[in-house]
Amino acid sequence: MSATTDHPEPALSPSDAMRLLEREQRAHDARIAAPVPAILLTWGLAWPAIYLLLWAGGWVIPLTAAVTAALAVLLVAVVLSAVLGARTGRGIRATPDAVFTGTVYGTSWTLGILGLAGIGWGLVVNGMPPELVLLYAAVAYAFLTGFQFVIAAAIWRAVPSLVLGVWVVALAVAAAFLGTPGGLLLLAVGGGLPLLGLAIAQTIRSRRAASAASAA
Amino acid sequence: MSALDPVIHAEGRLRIVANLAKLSPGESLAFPVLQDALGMTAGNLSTHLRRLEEAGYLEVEKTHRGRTPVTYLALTVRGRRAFEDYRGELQTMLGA
Repeated sequence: MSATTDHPEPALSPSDAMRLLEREQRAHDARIAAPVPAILLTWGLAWPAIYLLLWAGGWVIPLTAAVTAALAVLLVAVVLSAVLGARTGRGIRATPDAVFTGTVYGTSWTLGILGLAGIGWGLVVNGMPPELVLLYAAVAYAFLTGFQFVIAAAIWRAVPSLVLGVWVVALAVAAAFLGTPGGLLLLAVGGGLPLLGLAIAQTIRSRRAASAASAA
Repeated sequence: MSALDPVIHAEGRLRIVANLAKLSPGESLAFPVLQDALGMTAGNLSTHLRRLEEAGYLEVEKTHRGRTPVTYLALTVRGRRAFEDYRGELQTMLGA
């Protein structure tokens, strides 16, 4: 910290002080949550795109092309949300407890993805028909996503994440019964629309918060 | 207005304390991020921070991330309590 002289500041009335205090805290919240709408929008677009590609695979477009394109969309969404996520809470040094929680939660995604791939492989080795592999992968990863939303809701006390998580788990179970291609269409529409809705709601909320912070 | 804590009741320091009070206990904020958020010069921010530190409201930790020096800022328990008391006083004055 460099040595400087203290600059005199105009006296604050209690109402000015309260307004200033509230404006600063609203602005702080808006800065922390700034990347959230973009992350939600990324998945709100990627989710239906991935499941629509899988749905179309094999009868609208070749299955290999559909799976390749779906994986490409998934990769782009993962990278984009990781970059945006890294901006959340920029400059804040978390407590060791929070670091541990975040690390374990992040690792649980990797563990889930690898675990479900391993289970799928095991099922194929034990005779799962090839036509079920796509359905298995689609519903298993939808289930994992929903389940992780529920876990995130429990950790960060986020009710929208809880509602969305329960909904996606229910969709995954329903899609397993519907089979292909209907189950994939159900996942695309049933999972994509709520994510997009949440993204739009969060964008409106963030813009309102930002304008309230700057107007106060 | 004599009941209001003079350490907090100045525009610059109130803005600093209001931001730091939003952190969870145990969290801290990097100096450049706070400076950027407040739009203050480093010198002006440092002056206010020193006043808060002298009052026992602020904890300043100088550390390194790799080879880059980083300064982290957080309210002390005393600072947090002073801010809550200050907000309470304001609410009383405004009849909220």
